[in-house]
Parts: sequence; structure tokens; C-alpha cells
Amino acid sequence: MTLSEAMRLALRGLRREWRSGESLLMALALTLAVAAMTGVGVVAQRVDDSLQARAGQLLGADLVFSSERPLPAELRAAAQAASLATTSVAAFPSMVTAGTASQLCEVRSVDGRFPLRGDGASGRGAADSSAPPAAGTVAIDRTLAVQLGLSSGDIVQLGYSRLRVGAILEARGDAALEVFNVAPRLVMNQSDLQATGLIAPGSRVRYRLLVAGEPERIASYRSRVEATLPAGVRVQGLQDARPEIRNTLQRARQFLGLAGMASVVLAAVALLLAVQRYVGRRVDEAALLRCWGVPFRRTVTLHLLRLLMLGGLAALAGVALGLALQSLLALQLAALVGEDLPPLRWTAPVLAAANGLVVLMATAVPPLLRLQQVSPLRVLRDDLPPLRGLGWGAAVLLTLALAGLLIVQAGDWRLGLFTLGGFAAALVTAAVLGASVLWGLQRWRRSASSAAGTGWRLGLAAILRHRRRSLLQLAALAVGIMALLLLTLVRSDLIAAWQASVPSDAPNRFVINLRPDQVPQLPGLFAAHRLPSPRAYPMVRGRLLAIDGRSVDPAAYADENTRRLVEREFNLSFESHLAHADNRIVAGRWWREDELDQPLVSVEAGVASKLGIDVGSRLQWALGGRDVTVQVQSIREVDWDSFGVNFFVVATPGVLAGEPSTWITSFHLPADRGALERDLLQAMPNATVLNVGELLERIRSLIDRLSAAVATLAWLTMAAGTLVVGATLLLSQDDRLREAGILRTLGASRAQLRGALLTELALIGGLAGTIASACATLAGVVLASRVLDVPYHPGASSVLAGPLLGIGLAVVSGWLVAGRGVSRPPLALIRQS
Amino acid sequence: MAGTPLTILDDIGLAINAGETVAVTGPSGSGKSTLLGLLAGLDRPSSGEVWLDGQSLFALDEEGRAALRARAVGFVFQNFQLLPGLTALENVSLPLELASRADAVAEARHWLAAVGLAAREQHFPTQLSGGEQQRVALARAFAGQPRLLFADEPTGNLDARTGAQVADLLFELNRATGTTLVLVTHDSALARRCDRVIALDAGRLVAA
Repeated sequence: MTLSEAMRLALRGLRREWRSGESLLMALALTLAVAAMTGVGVVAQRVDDSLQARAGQLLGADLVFSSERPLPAELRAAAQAASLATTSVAAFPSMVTAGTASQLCEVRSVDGRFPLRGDGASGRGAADSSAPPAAGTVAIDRTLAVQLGLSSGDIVQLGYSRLRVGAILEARGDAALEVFNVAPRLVMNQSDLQATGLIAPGSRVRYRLLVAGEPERIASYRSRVEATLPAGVRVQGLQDARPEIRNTLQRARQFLGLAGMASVVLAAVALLLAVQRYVGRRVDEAALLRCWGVPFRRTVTLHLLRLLMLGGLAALAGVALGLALQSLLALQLAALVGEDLPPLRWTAPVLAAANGLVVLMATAVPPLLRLQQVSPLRVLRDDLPPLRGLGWGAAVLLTLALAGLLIVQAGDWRLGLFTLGGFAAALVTAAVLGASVLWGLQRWRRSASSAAGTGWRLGLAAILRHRRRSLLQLAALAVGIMALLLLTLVRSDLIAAWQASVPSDAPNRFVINLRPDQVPQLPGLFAAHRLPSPRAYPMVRGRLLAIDGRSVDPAAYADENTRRLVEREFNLSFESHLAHADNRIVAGRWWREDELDQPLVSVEAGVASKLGIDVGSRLQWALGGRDVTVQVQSIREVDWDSFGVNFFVVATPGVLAGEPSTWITSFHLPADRGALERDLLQAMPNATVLNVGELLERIRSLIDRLSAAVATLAWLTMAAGTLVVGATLLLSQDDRLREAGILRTLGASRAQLRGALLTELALIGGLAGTIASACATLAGVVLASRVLDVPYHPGASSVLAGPLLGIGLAVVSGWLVAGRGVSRPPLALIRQS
Repeated sequence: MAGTPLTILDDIGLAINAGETVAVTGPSGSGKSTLLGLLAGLDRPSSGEVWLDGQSLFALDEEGRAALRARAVGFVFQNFQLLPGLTALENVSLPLELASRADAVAEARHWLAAVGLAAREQHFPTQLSGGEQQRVALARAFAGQPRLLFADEPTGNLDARTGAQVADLLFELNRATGTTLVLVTHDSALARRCDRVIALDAGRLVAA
């Protein structure tokens, strides 16, 4: 047989096959799997490309040193000696005022070209696109210009200085990712910095040195200076630019990938079931062909060609659907990245289609090979047992193929296997719960069968008889619905609970950078606006050098947050009495009046446990110009959700009162008292007001966007779960038709048959949905109590949506597959089977 | 081939009286089962009529025929046709429930006892032997106290001894209830136990 002959035969067979349910179901399952893989794959590629393309732009240079203290001059001298371009930057948040309006912005005070890499300043009035602003002028982001109604030539107030707007920046330069930057940017000339009065000891300033040049020179320069860097200096190159952005995006991409795999796994299960029916129906044909002496190889080749053609068509449809899906996902993620993603490349769709065909072959080949065991005797005797165990070989091969796909998708074999285990655990949990409910139903049926209606009895009997199939339906549908519920309703319940846990009069403004001499003015200012004056706290910056004599090495901490905590300077405060209502001493005790001049501190419980600090520990700190050693007198638990001002470390006045400090306060600004903010900034131009409400809103919208993207995939997962229900019903189709025939013969009306089928489907769907709701709610409760620490009351919609959705999906898909048995003449039904 | 009509039964006219027992015999493919299907209203003829219990079957729609079957007709099949998901008791009570009988379970128990299977009422079909399954089918057929019982090769799937036992039970119950019996069979000995034998060949009546 030539290939073209085989193709022709296979094509003819395919056309015939199309009418049978299993081919359509296989095509649907494969389409869904390829669509999920295409959508996720393309988005991942576009996010990766975006990160790759903008590494330099994100950094604004090839190499950046940063520290909370001014950087050593030798660093710059060495760079200049190596013929590298350098710019020194001081970065800090501050308020900028124009007329009566003011806005928080990120100030970059620069002494050279800025940025050194990326398309930074390309605005009006700038001769060289990245030349520093001339003395007396500033360049501001377009967003800031819009917020304050500024155009080129207008005057802005920055601290105590009045500066002219020289240029408006269109691109974001060194700070591309919108959501990670709370404030718009203002670039100023370093020669104007002193006069603003914004830099005082203890101010929140980050000093940076940008370096750019040829890659080899950069590399040799970096290796030369890296070893001699003082503590607290961070260095970032193109590979490790903006790790927080890189990590967040990569995590989002990984999460999307794994969420997509949930639908692939369920679609593969549906495929496996449909293939079983396909092969099951070929048994008699295979016996006949063997009887005629047709070589087995030829039979298998024809079937494989047929399946490959079907798979090819389905993969094409899947790619088309996946491309539509990815544009939706890209739209949701573009908000994260701050601009449109780079265009798609075709490798991802091609790979997805190829992977889809791999999954198809993994499910189809083992059962097809089993056809070789069909006895030709079958043509003479129809009482031979059916082929048993068709599914096991396929299940093993499929699991291996899926594990491979998951590992590739996760980019990490441990995460891939962990995820596969997670799916399996979710399926098994749902199946175990389902099995116990079925067991209960069985007992109940025995005792209460006479009271129940016929439809109910028949429906229940059908579920209990095909117990394994019923459990598979239950588990697949439950996992699909659970994914959707968790990512939509439970998530919004949790966010609502979290928001409700914040008291309505919780502080929504923080004021930082207050000078000590400005603190006494606060009561008068607040009284003028008929508001209670908030308490202000002193803040002194200090680096933790050693705990109990062992020096603190950031690299020694595995946890990234802990590492960053000790890398940076702490904000320390001092108090005589514990005035924070949201603090609770959990170990040790607060200091007495006679201990106020002793070197004692109180440490927040979370930080204490991360760093291994306990009551009695001795901590060595570097403050301004001196080192001090203090003893831990107490450990405090802090309720951070109160949004009050709080500190990780509070010392006695004796330790810190002599140090240069800035002050911080927080208060609740009612919506109708906006004038207070303006008056405060006029009286204290150096102060910075942070709008916490706005910040929370931004975080919420970020979470919303990310989870909307994942929820899109959850819909696919649910669709795949529904396909599994359809496939299992299809597998039992012949039995069902025969039973329908018997029932019709015994005089059952259509209404009674309909009742039985609907009962069965509604029971399966309702049970699956209830299990999904229960698990999703439980996950919500665990998240609320363990992670978010908020009281959680699941909304009625989260509890009801699961069962309703389950019933709806099972009834609709089941009716499409099995509904036709209801209306055929009985003899035809019995004969067909 | 599709498009060429195939005549299975042709020119059949017969009347069966109430309380009569009739055997339908004939070689394979002679149309015995098709005749049974038509008599019971399980299938529709391309032309012709069947009157059952004073009612023209094909003047009724499928729903009407189902209702008539539920009221007046019982069946016994060669391959038992019990519902595998239901217990013996549930299989027997099923037609009674379909006819909305309030005493369905009690009645089903009575008939299971009558076929000697009172102890097996909670067993599923797969847990019963072939003879036992056919006895459950007999109990199911008689439980509705049908005026007319159709039996399609009721002993065809059983060994000789079990077949004879089931046949004895069938005729015994038939006598006790006075049901009209239409029996399709290859077995001439079984056919001879009926009041009348109808022979079919190639879709035509050859002896009545």
C-alpha cells in the first residue's frame, strides 16, 4: 500500500468517523489542549522577549551601583579611568507643587547624561535626548505634567526651591514598569539639590552610580571593583536588572503556564476516554480484518493516519483559538508591563500543535496496539469477553508525556512534578470525597428506595453501577469548577474580607521627612481643620551589623525578603512608653522609667523570628557616625493591618535621642478635608505625603489584572472538565441506549426516561459542584486565617455557584451526548446495542 | 443496500384470543422476532395494522404505545434484559413503578417469592446465574399482571435442564394467571406445549 493510497483510505474513514461522537470529542479535547498551550506559550514568549529587549532600558545603564549612603568616589574614578560613561544619581520621593496642586514624585537628581541606556528624555526643549536638565530646570514625566496641568516653561515648587519645567519626558527611561512605580518621575540637576533642603541626615535617599560602555570593559571593571565594595552597596548588571520586576513577571508567566496545563491535563483525560471508545468500537472490525488476513501493521497504520489527520485539523483549530486567547491574555498582561508586548513568534504555536499531537499519540498508540490481541474467532462467537484494561498502558504513557510537558512548561522539574502531583491530589481528593458520598447514597438507596421516585432511582442506579466512571466525571468536573471558583468568587470574597478588615477611619495618609522642629506645629495645623492632631514618631536610620557578636551576612539568608531586609538600613525609632495600641508584648517586658537611658530595644516578632533574635540577644548597629550595641528587652507583635505607624525596632531614648532624625506621622484624612494636605505642604515644603489609599488601590488593580488573566485559563479548565463528563457518558453510551430500550419496552414514558437521565446528570454535576465549592471555600478559609489573617465569611454566591454551575454543565453536556436515547423506538435501541 | 426496501414480513393475518397460548416458530431470518416486535408495538410496520386489547396500535403515537405496554403487556427476552444497575427486587418493581403502582415493592416481593428467589432480592443481575436471571425476568413480566405476555426465545440462552425448569415455571405462572402468551421459539418441544403453533418462513405464514 502506497502512502497516498493509505492517506486516501484514511481520509475516507475519517469522513465516516466524523459522524460518531468520539471523533468529535477527540477533536474538541485536542483543540482545547492546543489552544491552552498556544495561548500560554505565546504570551510567555512575548513576556520573555519584552524582558530581554528592555533589560538595558529597565536599568538605564549597563551597570548600576546603589546604596543608602553616598557611594565611594573611587568607584567613579575607576570607571572613568576605564573610559566608561558615568552618571551619579540621588533618588528620593518628594512632593512637587504647582499653584495649589501637589503630587508625590520620584526625584532623580543627576550630574550627567540620564539615562545612559534606553530612550529616556525625548521631549520638547531638550537638545540632547538624555542630557541632564540645565541648572534651575527640571524634566518631568508626561503623567506628572497632566496631573499638575504643567507645560514647558511653567514653575514648580520642590522643597524650598522654585524650578522651571524644561522638558517633558515621554518614555519612562530607567523605570519602565508602570505598576511598580507609585510616583511619576522628576529629573533635576544635581547642582540645585542642596537649595531644595530635601536632603537632611536620615532622609530616604538612594544613591546610584550609572555606568555604561563596551561589554568587555564593563565586565572587567565589574570584576575589578565588585570585591572591594563596602557593605550595603548593591550592584546590578543587565542579567540581574530589576529583579523584583523580573521575578514578578516570571512568576506570573509560570503561574499562567501551570494554570494552562490544568486544562491540558483534563483535556488529555477526555482524549484518553474518547480513544478508548474509538478502539473499543474497532474490536469487531479488527477481528474481521484478521480473519481476512489483513496484516495488523496495515490496520494500525490506517488508524494512526486517520487519528493524525483528525489531530492535525484539531490542532489547527486549537492554534486559532489559542491565538485569540493569547491576545486576550496579552491585553491583561500589557497593563502589568506598562506597554504593548513585543509581537508573537510562530515557534510557540507550532510547539503547542506538536505537543498536542504527542499527547494524542500517547493516548492512542497503546490501546491501538491492543487490537493485535483481538482473536479472529470473534467473528464466529459474539460471547467472547471484551478487551480489558485498554486504558492502563495509555494512562502510564500519557502521565509520562504530561509530566514532560509540565516540566517544560514550569521550566523546573521539581515545580513540574509538584504541579502534576497537585493535579493528581486534587483529582484524588475530589474522587475520595465523591466515593464517600456515593457510598452514603448506596446505603440510603437500600433503606429508602421505596420512597424515592422512579426517575430518581434509575438515575442513582446508573451512577452507582458505573461507579468508576461516575467518580472520574465527578473528579474532573470538580477540579475544573474548583479552579474557576478559586480564581473568581473566592478571590473577590477574600479581597472584600481584607478590605472590610481595614477600619474605615484607618490612616490613609503618611507624612514622612518631617524635621524635628516642625513636629510642634502639627497640633495647630490640624486644629485649624478641626481634626485631632496625630502622634508623630522619630525615625533614625541604622544598619544591623551583628547579632550576638556574629556579623550579619545577607548571603547567609535563604529567604529573599530577609536578605533584602538586612541589606538595607532599618528605620529605628525611640519611645519612653509603648503608645501603640496595635502593639502587644509577647516576650520580655517594656522598659521602666529608670531604664530609659539603658541600651535596650524592642523587636517586632516577625523580624525577630526571621533573624533568629530573642529576648536577651545583643544587636550591634551602625548609626550615622558611630556603632552601638543594644540588648533586646522585649518582642512585640504588631497588627500591621491597622495602617498605623510602626517600627521593626524601637529603642530607648537613651540610645537614639542624640542621633539626627526625621519624623513620621499618619492620619485619616476625610474626603472633604483635602485643604489640610495643601496647607501642610505649604507650611512644610520638605515633607512628603504618601497617599496609602491610592497605593492600596493600585495593588488591588494589579492583583485583579493578574488573576483575571489566570481566570481566563480557569474557564478553559472548566470546559475541559466538561469534556471529560461528555467523554465518560459517551463511553457508556451503548449500555445507556440498551437500557433506554428495555425501559421503553417495559412501558416507560419519555418523561420518565428524561427524569432518570436528568437525575443522573444533575446528581453528578451537583455533587462535583458541591465538592468544588467546599474545597474552594476551605482553601479560602485557610488562606484567610493562615496567610491574610482576616475573618472570612464565604459569600452566598461562592457557595451556591459551584453546585449550580456543576448541574448546568453536566446536564447540558450530558444531554448533548446521551439525550437522543430518550426518543428512539425501543426495538431500534435494543438492536443497536 | 440503503434505498432498496427489504420485505421482512408479508401478508400476515392472524388473530389471538384472550387466554390463548401461541408459539411462533420458524428458521432464522424468517421474521419471528420482527413479528413479535410489531405485535408488541416495539417497532412500526411499513404498512398494516395491529389491534391489541381493542386498540389499533399504530393509531397511537410512541408515547401512547408505551402507556399501553405499561398497562397490559409483559415481556421475557432471550438475553433476560435486566437492568444491571438495579437489584433483583428493583428490576421486578420497575414496571410497577413506571405504571405508578403504590404497592410496587410489596407486589415485587410477592412475585420474586413466586419464582423462588425471595432470598436473592438484594442481589444484582451479575450476581445471579442465567437461570436465576431469567426467573427474575419472569417475575418482572408477571408482576404487572399483564393480559398479554410476549416471550422471545425465553430458554434460548440456557442449558437444557435450566431451560426446562424456566419453561415449566413460565407455563405454570401462565396457567395460574390466565395470561395470553405469545412465545417465539426454535424449540419444537416448547412450541408443542402451546395451544396453537404459528410457523413462519421467509416472512410468510406457512401454518397457523
